[in-house]
Amino acid sequence: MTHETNNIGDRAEHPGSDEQKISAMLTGLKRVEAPKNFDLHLKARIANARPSAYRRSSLLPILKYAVPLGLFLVVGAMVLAVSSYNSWEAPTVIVQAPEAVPAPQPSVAVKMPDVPAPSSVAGAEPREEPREPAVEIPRLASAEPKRVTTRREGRSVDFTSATEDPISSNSALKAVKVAPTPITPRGMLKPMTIDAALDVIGVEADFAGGLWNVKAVKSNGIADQIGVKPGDKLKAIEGRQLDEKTEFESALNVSTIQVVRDGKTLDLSVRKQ
Amino acid sequence: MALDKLGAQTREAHNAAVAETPQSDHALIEATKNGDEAAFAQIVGRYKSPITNYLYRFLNDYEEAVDLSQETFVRVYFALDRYHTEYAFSTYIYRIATNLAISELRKRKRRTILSLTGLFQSEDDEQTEFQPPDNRNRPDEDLVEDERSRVIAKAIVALPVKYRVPIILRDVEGKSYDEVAKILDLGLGTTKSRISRARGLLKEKLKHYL
Repeated sequence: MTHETNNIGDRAEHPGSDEQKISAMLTGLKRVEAPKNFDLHLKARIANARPSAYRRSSLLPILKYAVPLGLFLVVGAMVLAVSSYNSWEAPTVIVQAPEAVPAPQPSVAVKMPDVPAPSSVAGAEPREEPREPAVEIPRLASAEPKRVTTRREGRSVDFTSATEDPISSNSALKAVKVAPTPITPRGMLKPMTIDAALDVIGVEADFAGGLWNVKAVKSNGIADQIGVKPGDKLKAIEGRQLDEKTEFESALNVSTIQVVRDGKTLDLSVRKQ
Repeated sequence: MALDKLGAQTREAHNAAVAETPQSDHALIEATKNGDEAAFAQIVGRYKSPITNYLYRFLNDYEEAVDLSQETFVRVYFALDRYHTEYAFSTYIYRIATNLAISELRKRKRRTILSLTGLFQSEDDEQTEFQPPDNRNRPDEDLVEDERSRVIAKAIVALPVKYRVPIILRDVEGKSYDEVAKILDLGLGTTKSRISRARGLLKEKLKHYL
């Protein structure tokens, strides 16, 4: 046999050493033989054995890797689904005053047009909006709770707000929060064009010489309250430099406008009452 | 014509040589795969005693060694399709026997733990198994092992498995270092160092006999 020929050369290591003596002691142990009935018992054992019990399933090695991989993919898909659901959440919030509470002052209502370049400025009749008003922020004198309606996927959830809206409760500030535009089918908010933003703040202007030249200001509009006058040249809104195609976030709080008046740059902001 | 005669003589001589030369393990395995039961019987006859002796030195229990030796051949028989001829058959069968012996040692450990839990059972719970007397010949009892041999055997069994297996294969079974390394799927250096370490441990235990 092969092992009988192989071991001869390796035996002579460390002659006379303790290791060699130990090796010789082990080699000198009497060998036991298999019993005489070994073959008979073996035949019986093979005859009675179930071959399937000794054959490894071919699926086992695959399952060993497939199961953890599958679990990993499922968990990953769940994490992705949850994170995308959270990022989608941008509901339109409508704050409504309770009907019983009278408003002490006329409320500031901003309606955002969905198409750019409308020309309803001072004196013009309010247009009929094809879509529902995005935001109505009344100024409340009482501390009664308000009803807040959240629209999400066509469902409305009503709940009572425990605190007052900071914008409407602070009468000193007249900054107006512009509501987000309606949610697009893909769940993303549309950015607001410069024309729409000018319309929101109540300004009619033309773009010339790199600036927006104000032609008319809507009375009692945001720009009017801030102090913009016809003839001003709009340079920036909320610190954002204007050009022909500037776009704004859907929710725009307008409290400062930078204008060029008589060759001087002025920073106009909301006036305190 | 002369060439024809020479060719015929050569063929006869070759056939006679083949008939006398024992078939290699690989040839016997191939024959067994083709349904030749006698070839498998030859394999068994060739390896039954070395494997039994190896397992006996591993476990120091002849009955268990014979049982595991038979189990080794059963596994070989049913797994012939998985056997690759790039390994020597002796390497393959010793590897199976080693794995079975290691599994048996683990089972023994579990049995020891279970028997310890039996200490807390009441006498009513105890069930005595009927064990008929074994009248078969006990070759291990027939072996006349002197005190020295028994001490050496006990010292081997007391070694940790990682040292016990290579030193039995090397010094008891007479395998080469290279073969031991292949059976245990270890590097040659690791195999040599383990055998050396095993000899060192045995030297401490058997210093009275040196």
